[in-house]
Amino acid sequence: MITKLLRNTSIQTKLRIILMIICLAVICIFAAPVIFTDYYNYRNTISHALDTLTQIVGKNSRAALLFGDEPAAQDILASLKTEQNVAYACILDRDDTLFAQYVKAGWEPHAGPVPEMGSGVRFKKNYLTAFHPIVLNDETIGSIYIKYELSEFASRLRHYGALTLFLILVSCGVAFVLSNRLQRIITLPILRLTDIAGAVSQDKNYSLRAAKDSDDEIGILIDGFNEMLGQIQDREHQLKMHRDRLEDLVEQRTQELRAANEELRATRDQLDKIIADSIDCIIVTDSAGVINRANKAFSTMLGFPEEESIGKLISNFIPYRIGEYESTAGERFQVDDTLRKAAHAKITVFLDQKRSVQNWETHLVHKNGMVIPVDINMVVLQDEQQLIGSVAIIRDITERRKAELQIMRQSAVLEAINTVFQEMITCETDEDVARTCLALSEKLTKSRFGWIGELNETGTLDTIALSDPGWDACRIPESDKGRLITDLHLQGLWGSVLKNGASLKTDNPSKHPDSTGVPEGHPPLETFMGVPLFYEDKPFGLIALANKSGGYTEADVRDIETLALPYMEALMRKRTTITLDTERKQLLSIFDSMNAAIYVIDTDSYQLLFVNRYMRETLGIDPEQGTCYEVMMGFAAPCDFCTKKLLAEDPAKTYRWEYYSPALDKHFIVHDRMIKWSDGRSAKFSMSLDITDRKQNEQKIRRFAADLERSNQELNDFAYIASHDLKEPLRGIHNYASFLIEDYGEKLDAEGNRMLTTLTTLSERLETLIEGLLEYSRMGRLDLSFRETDLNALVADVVETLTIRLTELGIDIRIPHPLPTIQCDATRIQEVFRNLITNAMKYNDKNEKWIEIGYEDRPSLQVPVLYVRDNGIGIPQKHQEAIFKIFKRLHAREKFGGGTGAGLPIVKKIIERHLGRIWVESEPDTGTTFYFTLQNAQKTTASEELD
Amino acid sequence: MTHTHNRHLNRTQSALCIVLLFLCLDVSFDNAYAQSAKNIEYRAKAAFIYNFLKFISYPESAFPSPHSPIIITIGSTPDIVSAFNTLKGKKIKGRPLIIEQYTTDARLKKSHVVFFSSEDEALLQKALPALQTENILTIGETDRCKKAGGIIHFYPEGTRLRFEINITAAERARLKISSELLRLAKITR
Repeated sequence: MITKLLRNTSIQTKLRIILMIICLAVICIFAAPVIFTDYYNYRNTISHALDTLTQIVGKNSRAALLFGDEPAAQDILASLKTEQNVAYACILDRDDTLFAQYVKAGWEPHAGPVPEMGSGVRFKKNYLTAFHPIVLNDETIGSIYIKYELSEFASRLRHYGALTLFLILVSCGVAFVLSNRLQRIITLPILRLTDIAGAVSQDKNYSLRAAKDSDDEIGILIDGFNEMLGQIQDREHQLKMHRDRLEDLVEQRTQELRAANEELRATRDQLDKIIADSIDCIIVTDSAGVINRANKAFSTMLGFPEEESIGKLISNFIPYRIGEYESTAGERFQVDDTLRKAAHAKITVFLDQKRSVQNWETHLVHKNGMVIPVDINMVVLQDEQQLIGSVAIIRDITERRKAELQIMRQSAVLEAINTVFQEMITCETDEDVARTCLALSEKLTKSRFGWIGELNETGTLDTIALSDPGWDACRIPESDKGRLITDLHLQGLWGSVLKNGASLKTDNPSKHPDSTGVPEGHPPLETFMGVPLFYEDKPFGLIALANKSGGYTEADVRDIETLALPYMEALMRKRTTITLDTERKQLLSIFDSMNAAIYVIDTDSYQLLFVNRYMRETLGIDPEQGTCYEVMMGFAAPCDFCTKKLLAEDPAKTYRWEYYSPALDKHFIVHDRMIKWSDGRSAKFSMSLDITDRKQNEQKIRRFAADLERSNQELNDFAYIASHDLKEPLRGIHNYASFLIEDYGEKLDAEGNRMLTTLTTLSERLETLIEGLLEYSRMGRLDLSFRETDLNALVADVVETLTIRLTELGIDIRIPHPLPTIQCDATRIQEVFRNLITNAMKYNDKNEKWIEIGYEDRPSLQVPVLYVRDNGIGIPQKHQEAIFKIFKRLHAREKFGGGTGAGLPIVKKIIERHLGRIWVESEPDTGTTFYFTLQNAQKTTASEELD
Repeated sequence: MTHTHNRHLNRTQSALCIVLLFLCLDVSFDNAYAQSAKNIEYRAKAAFIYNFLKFISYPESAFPSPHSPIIITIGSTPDIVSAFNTLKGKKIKGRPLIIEQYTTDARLKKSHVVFFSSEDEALLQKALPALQTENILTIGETDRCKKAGGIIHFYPEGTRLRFEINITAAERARLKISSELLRLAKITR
């Protein structure tokens, strides 16, 4: 404050005042502690003295108080007269009643009761009070109060004050005189400098210089001042030059600014035009959200002329009338007054918080009451944090909303499809699927109830799903046994849907030309729609829905038509699944019923994928207990068979072997092979047939075969031995018969010679028979030597040996195409061909005789079927078996050239030794064909390999 | 605060007491109430005697132990007995007060205070001379008692009850009397 006061005074005054203030401060600093110390000491002394005095007087007055001796107490108090400053004293008894008092002459007695206070001394404004209880033998019997006036104290204070004041005055006087003299040392040069500075600034004469008379700071100041003057003088000159240039520059800038302003104005006009002509609604509000400008688009959109919208809030255009609205996008929604409040609150908050951009979607109401969905983009206008207002760009989003609704509808349809397929997977029956389809359709179209029907074989309709309200209303007493109504004859609205195969919707079903009314008990129909169902282009049935409030739309029909396809797909798939499941169960029951152990193993994890009942119950295998090798073999790792053979080698190969289980005493034939699943993974399929019975039969058969072999051998041996040994005596009989004819023929008559001749003939015949028999039995015993044989060469050799007779008989040998090369015993096969050709030569009575040798490939047989065909007499059907029996002849001995009857049996034997078969096809008088096969060793080897 | 409150209560009680005190000091009260006035008078005297003891110190030999009781012997007049019964249970400097009625001279000598009332003065007077050299505070209310050498003598002055102290008798009984008490008394020798 002082500095402020001094700011504008001259430096002389300043120095003077400073010195005086210092002087004053020094005196005060010295005097204050002295005064205060003295004051407190004096005060303490008085207070202590008064306290003591009070206590003494109080003690002296104890007895007087106790005995109620007031005069005595008065006397004691009167002794205070010696203390000039005691103005008043009193003694109170134990009930605080005034007992005795003393009042200084000229003083008023204390008025009223003594103020209550604690014991001790207290300072009041002009006096000091002391109060003490009077105690005798620890009992308070009264109290004493003394009032001590402080006039002495005040006079002492006044004395000190006067002294201090006097000292201050004297010091200030001295300081004033001294400062007047001493300040000149500093002020004189400064005042001189000030004069020069004044002259310079007044006359702008920078050539003046100040005189310097000391080397202190002021001297430096003068030097600096002079130097500065010099510099200013230079600068002044330069400045003058600059100023001239600057004026030009300013003129130029002013021109530019004017141009910029023009441009700005043009831009603003352009902007105004843009706003006015914008397709989007643009409105400008003040800071409270009140519209102060709206463009033409806004007026056009909402039907309010600009002047009507100005001064209103944006929220005034939000629909508020409670009820249902339908927007231009076709969306229906409920409105209550919260919509407008919420919008208003939103805008207010937005403006309050000065957010830069706000975007939201809402609805605005047209003057004619129509509701338009809009998108509002709001931008706050502010100037240096000061809110000016806002600009809102409002866009009619009817089209977008329509698209959104469309998408929502589509996604609802998609979701329904999804649900149907999910339901198809999770639910138990196809009826569940149908019910789900119905429920989804009802939900999608907001129908109260509905049903799905399926056409049956008789052309009537069975309901397969019926919504609960519909069912409850349609319950017919006699159909209690079934849930759904069946065998409905096509009629009414739904009937026409099925007949026309086209969807139908009506908002007034009872007035529809196709309507036949509703059955008794049926809930009243308000609205109806039906969509036909097709599966694989054949009519399947229909979905009927009813009582959507407000009626069905084209979109509803479209949605259900869209859904009809997935519905049918899901329903039919479910049916297929159920069928497949039944079939699978049947298949499994087949596996389970087989007297064989069947299992399937996943070859990656060695887990048992399937085991049949035989495995589980007879073998006690539990697939849950671990891998196949653990459960079935008790091994810690997969068996070598799987890892090294089944998985390592040809995956298409079937491995088959027999296996005897000592534990079960059972024989099995095991078939193992790989299965390729459709997903590319593979599994091992194993089937072990219980062949214990067959095995036992085989052993029996083997025993029989051995027995048979032995008896055959014995028979063969017998035949050979018999025929061989018979030849010897027969030869003798024949020889001796010949000798008799030669030596004794003349001595015998003709009859005797004839008989002998017959004997030789018979013996010769017997020999032939024995030869045949021998040959036949040899065929059964001899080992065959198989090798590759070219049948062409073989047949040529046979024909060669018969050439002469063939020529004689005029028989043509035909071989239509070359014969194959096969494995056989060539010598024996030659025998076969020779016998067959010879037979064909013999039994032919035609003029033009031929024999054809060839072969056929028959699809039922894997080997070529060879044949020898003639155009001879043929063999009747009844004899076709007999001809292969030994010594069986069909014709008289001498007819057709004779023969032993052993030929064909031998042929048969050879062929059978080749594991082949011979049979004959013949027609009497037309010809005979002998067919035979030679199933050689190749086939046998292949079948052995399978083991 | 509580203190103030108590004080205030005390004040109402004390107002009654003050009235009582004035009554008790007024010995020339209506004759019709002479009997009860007498009683009040003795109550005041009993209170005085109690207060005297606060200002009088006995030689140590007067008590067998530091807490031995102070025995006050009185006559058997019912007014006196009932008045002195108010002192029962009180203590002086830690010593309890015992009020005894005169029985025997021997017993009388063991007392510390003997009050000779005007009623039973005749009975007690013969014992007084023997008590003068004992450490016994003898108190009387008749001139005869005063002349016989009683230490404290009650007398009325206007409406007030006053007392005089015979210093010689006190010295003889070796009792020290506080100057505070002496200041209030009429001193005789």
